[in-house]
Amino acid sequence: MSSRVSKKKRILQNLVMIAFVIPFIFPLISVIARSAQGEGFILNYKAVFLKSPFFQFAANSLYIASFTVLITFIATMLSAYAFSKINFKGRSVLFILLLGGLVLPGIALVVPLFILVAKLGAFNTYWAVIIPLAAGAIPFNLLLAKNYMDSIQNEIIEAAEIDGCNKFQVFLRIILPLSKPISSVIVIWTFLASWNEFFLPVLFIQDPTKQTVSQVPQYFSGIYISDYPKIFAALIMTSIPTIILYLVFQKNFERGLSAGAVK
Amino acid sequence: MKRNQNRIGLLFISPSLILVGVIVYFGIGYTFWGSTREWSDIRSPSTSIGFSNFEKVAQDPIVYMALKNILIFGFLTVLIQMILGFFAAVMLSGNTIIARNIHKTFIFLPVIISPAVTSISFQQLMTPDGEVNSFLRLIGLDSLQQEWLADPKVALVSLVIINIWQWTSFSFILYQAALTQIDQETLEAAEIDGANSRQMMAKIIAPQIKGTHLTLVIMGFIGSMKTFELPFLVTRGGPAGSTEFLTTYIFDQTVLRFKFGYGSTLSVLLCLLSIIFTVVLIRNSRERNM
Repeated sequence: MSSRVSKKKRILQNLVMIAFVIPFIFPLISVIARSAQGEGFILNYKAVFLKSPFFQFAANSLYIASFTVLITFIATMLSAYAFSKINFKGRSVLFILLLGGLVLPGIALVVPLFILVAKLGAFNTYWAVIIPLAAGAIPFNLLLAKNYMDSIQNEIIEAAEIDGCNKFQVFLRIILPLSKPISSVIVIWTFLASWNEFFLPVLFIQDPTKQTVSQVPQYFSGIYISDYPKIFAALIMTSIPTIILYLVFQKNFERGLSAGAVK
Repeated sequence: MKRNQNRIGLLFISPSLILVGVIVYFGIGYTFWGSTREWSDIRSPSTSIGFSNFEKVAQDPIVYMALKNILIFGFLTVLIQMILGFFAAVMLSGNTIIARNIHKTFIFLPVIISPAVTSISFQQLMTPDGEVNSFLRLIGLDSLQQEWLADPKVALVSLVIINIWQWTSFSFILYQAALTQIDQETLEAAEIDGANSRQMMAKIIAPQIKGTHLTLVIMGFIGSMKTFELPFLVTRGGPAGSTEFLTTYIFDQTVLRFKFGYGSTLSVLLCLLSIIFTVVLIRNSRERNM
């Protein structure tokens, strides 16, 4: 088709596309440029590394994200396997019940969460962030994983069962290895969502040493009240891990986003 | 054997069921209950006040302002995002464009940057002497310069622009996935029969991506109702309530003012709207397809 497009039209289309993409890059470039103003690029980033608890915050976020991913992954894969391959009573009702969590806005649960965390004395603990994050991530991931496992042939499972595998061994030896593509999607998006989470840490983590990366800007606004170049340097440092992750696992990110269209 | 399957099935789903059950369903139940109560502070027990909170919500001008804002925000974001995403997907589907992967990466990047980072950044880029206005001057569109976030007439549109910047890749990726599913042979046959690209777009491509439109509308409106970081961090709901959302209002009432009863009532409203909206849209589209 394209071979018949004239050269003039081709150039024009390329120019239009470049014009289209410029507004998407422009803010990124502006932010990088800003981070080099003031005391200059090197001193700004040095201040982020040495004068701020940036690494502490990043380590805290890494901790939260790792446990959220771990819990979400185990719960999601086990339940997706049961919903896809085990014929148990109440299966379809429970599946719909779990998917119901998809529609509800997390902030609508702020009052019960607040009271639950207060009653359990869990303020300033990471579990107050990890558990709600995992509960919020499960419904969507379950939908993805179940749809994927539906395409795994039952004959493979039956053969393994004849060879003496129980349901859990089937899960470990057959289902998990065959589900690698969807597993990486789940792990990557859950990690990204937990790393970027803003609301739950604001609610439950007040201890200044326990803050997460999404709190970095707030932290700098207090100290360097007008020193925006350093704030921007910190913002860039916050985003770099996710950008690297994206560049390495580009395909998985795109698949995760488009998986929403499956249903 | 059968009973065994029941036990194992329930065992395997129990971690998900417990997590979602405790957080989401206990939470919703509590929110409904809480909407009929009043707390003097978090530690003291609540008292029942019946449905008076609902009467208060029905008369609260801030609620109506927030609903209007969500509606405008949702409508503009969804519509413009769909157009931009579709355009990008069509442009990048052939091989006319050079360096397609680089274009794709640039459109995609915003979606992986945290909303907190995006919010703080745009808050600075959109000041009167910020980069957005400088850019408009640079390309000769001086007349479009605005006080993006300080002008109550413009602030909501500014949030729409930021949201579009962040989320266009979602519609782009979805349309791209839908376009690749369109049968190449059908397209070639139509071309041989002499169909031009406009006819192919209208007769073959458009009907096949209807489902994608619907997904984007549902996800877009649910997303708008969930939007929190953007109005909270960029404009704090201001100026003059022009960017107040239900989410920011709930945060204000519960976390800042400890009005748990009223905050719960607002949360019930938000939940009901999300559910009703999703059900109506899905049902509508089913009827039309039959």
